[in-house]
Amino acid sequence: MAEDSKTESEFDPLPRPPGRASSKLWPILGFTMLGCAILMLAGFVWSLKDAWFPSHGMAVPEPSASARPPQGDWAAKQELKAIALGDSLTRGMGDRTGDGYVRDSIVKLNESLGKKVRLLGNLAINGLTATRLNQQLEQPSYASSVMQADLILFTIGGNDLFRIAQSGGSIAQGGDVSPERLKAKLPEAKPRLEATFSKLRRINPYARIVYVGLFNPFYDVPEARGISETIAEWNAYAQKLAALDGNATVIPTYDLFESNAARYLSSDHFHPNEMGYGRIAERIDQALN
Amino acid sequence: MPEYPHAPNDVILSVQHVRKVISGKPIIRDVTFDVRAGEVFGFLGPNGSGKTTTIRMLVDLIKPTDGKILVCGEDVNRRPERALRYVGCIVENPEMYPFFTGWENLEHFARMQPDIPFERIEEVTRIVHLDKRIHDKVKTYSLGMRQRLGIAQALLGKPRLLILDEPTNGLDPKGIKELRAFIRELADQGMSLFISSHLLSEIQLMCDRVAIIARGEVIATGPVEELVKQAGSYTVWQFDKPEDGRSLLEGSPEVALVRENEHRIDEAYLNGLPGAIVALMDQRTIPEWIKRFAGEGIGVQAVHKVAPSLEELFLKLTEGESVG
Amino acid sequence: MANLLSLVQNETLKVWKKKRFAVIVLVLLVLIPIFVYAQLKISQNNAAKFADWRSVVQQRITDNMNAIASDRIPEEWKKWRRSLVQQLQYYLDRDVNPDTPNAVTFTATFLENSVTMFIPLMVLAIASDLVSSERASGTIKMLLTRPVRRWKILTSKLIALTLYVSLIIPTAALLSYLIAGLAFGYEGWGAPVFVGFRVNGTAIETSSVHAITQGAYLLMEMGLVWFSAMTVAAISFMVSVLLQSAAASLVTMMAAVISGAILANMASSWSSAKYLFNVNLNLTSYLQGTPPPIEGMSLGFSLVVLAVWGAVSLTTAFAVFTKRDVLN
Repeated sequence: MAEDSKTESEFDPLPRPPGRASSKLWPILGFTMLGCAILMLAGFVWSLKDAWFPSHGMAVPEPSASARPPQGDWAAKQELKAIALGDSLTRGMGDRTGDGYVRDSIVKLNESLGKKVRLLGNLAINGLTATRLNQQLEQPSYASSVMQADLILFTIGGNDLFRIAQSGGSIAQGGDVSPERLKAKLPEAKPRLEATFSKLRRINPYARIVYVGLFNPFYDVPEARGISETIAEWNAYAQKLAALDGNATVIPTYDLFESNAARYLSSDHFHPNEMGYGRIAERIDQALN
Repeated sequence: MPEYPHAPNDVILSVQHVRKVISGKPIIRDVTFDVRAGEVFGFLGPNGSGKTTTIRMLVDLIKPTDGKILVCGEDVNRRPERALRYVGCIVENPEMYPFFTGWENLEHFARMQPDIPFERIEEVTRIVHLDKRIHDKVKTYSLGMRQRLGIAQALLGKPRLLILDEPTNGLDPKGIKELRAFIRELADQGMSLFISSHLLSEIQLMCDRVAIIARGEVIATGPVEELVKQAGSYTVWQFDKPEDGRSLLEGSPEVALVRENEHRIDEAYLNGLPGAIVALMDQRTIPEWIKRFAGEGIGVQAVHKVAPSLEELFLKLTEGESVG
Repeated sequence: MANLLSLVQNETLKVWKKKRFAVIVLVLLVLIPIFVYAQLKISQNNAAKFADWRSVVQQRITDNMNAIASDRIPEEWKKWRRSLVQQLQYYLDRDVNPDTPNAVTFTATFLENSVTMFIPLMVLAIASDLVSSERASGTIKMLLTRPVRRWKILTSKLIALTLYVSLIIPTAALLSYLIAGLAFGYEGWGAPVFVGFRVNGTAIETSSVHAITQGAYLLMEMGLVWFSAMTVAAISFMVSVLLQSAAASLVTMMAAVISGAILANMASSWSSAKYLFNVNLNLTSYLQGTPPPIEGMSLGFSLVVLAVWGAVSLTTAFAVFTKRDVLN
């Protein structure tokens, strides 16, 4: 047909478009789009089916053998791994730089030990009680983080004793701190601390455990002086646990905030500020050298 | 070779008592006319007379409030998919897709009608002489080329009726001349053409019959010559001695001179004729007058018969109305 | 009487020749490497800091728990974090890495993050002037004076739009996969992902949680993204029919999409906002199991809301387009 019309035509044939691209474009484009549309529809229908009539799904591979705790003594190691656990003191609350004693002490240890000290993570949670920490240590995933460390830094107990609100703000405002009540709490809190020490040691038999002791943030408040007595008892208990363990250290802090509380405490009058944390970090550094 | 076979008096387009009200205002009051096969039908009206609205109703862009429009017996508004097969049109400017080539545009519109073979696209391309540039992007086309591409598009489906809206807009004189010849050629092949314009002179040159629309109504329909005759035409004289010529003309009772501000001839046209004297007179007496001027020693440089402008025609046609 | 397929061909070619799709591909080619680079930095950072992924996840859990413990964080964010913590814990307990950095997870994350803004904007690039551009350029007068019913013309445009939306999502996924693969490798199709987390009040219900492969997850995700993109397309289609100017319809739709993203972050107390289409666009969040922005929203609810919006839009578009006079 096309040839007929050409012979009849008195005109020159029209210049054809190069390759007649537009006529090839459509089938390619059309089929690609159709394929995509079917794919999208299939995905959509599948997602609905999966959401409303879920199948059993694929088998999840068995958990691989977890990492084993590092062994051997520190001197032989190129690099030390540290992990921080516990409550708001370890989290660094009150420190405007956010570093807390953990970062400071890691930096100091880096220099003083002459080897790299690496922080695996700071798993501290504001407002954590010893009870909750013990629960967390039961979780395999949590334990596996602890397992990898050569050095475990932790604080706990403050929330058990002071029963402060989660953010720690209420103490600063209220006179809710009665030395008597604090003292009354001590017997139930002690076994929890013991549980924490033993759990940590069970998870990681080789790591050096560093427990940062409690201090009395209300030393400058005359009515609250009595708190110090309870704090001292708690710290002594921790000291006893550490001694039993053999590879644990308790860092004393009760004296750091007695004489010049306003200088080293943050505005909530409970947590240290960056200078306070710096002093704690110094003690840790000294204790480990 | 009648390409569009049908009996010569077939009615191709029939517009019957069409009305259109847009937001409460009657835009079209009553429009009725027929377009026959093979004729060039002019649709004359000033801007704002309802011309554009009427054209849009012919091609189903606007639905009439009342009345019927039939193309080859099919109702345009009820069954556009059938009626519009017989129609090719350019409404206002020939807008084509600028990102397509001319060819792609034609392919695009060919796909919208049944059974237009590849060869037909080549054919219309040749008819409008776009062969050389047909594979260039439309955005590189001149207005004239776009116009031609628009016509090619309109011709794709071998329409019985071709509707062109102000087709000479934007064309140069050469282009206008070519368009006229082209329109005549199509009509000779048996196609009906419907051409709108606001210029009487253009309609006069192109059309066989004309409908005149004013204020939403068709006020006259008929052969172009008859309508023009009704309006009367001016005789414009140019003398070597204008003063003498004027006084001679003034002296005659059969001649009425028209003062400068009273005639309705295009100013631009008159400006090209220095010293022109505009008269209303029996144009059959022009030879006698020339002899008379010669006898008086007045040289006749030129005599023009000038059709009145559209406004003049309207004035004549609507005279009764304005008095009553 | 021209058949619909030819009309679809016309509309498809017009969008193509307008180079709209080319622009979308170009935008993707510019943006994806930026995201890939950012992701690369994050994973390098994690690799330097943490011995293995478990520590990373554990740290994420801890950080979120600290946020939950804080008073300064709004309750609805806490809800979101709580469910995240529970999910991460679920992954940790089963020893499955929830965010292995590879091309497949990157692509999935990319789609999740683009479902409310980026994908809709790309859809708008095509949909917003599909009809209004014909009106603005005057070509509508050519289009509507051909012997084709108006509904057929609009249908062909709608089909072409659907096809382009269907093309955009796999294209975005494919480009993202290819580019991310350069940095993270092309593996990861078979890795497990947990789906079926149900948010139930403050707790996450894990009874119907099951594992699927990353590949299946990606396909489902694309299907859901496609559905919300189609809703945006339908609404934009209507706006394009109603409004004269292409710019006006683009701005209108962009405002709608962006305000949806903002509303989703702050509308939790205004519960009737859940009937707005733009708050429901984030369908992939149901797959992930993150809590919806407003109480009472669920996958079924969002699907119905989107479907109703889409259907009403299309009905309006057809009703107006087939009846309206073309006056200019």
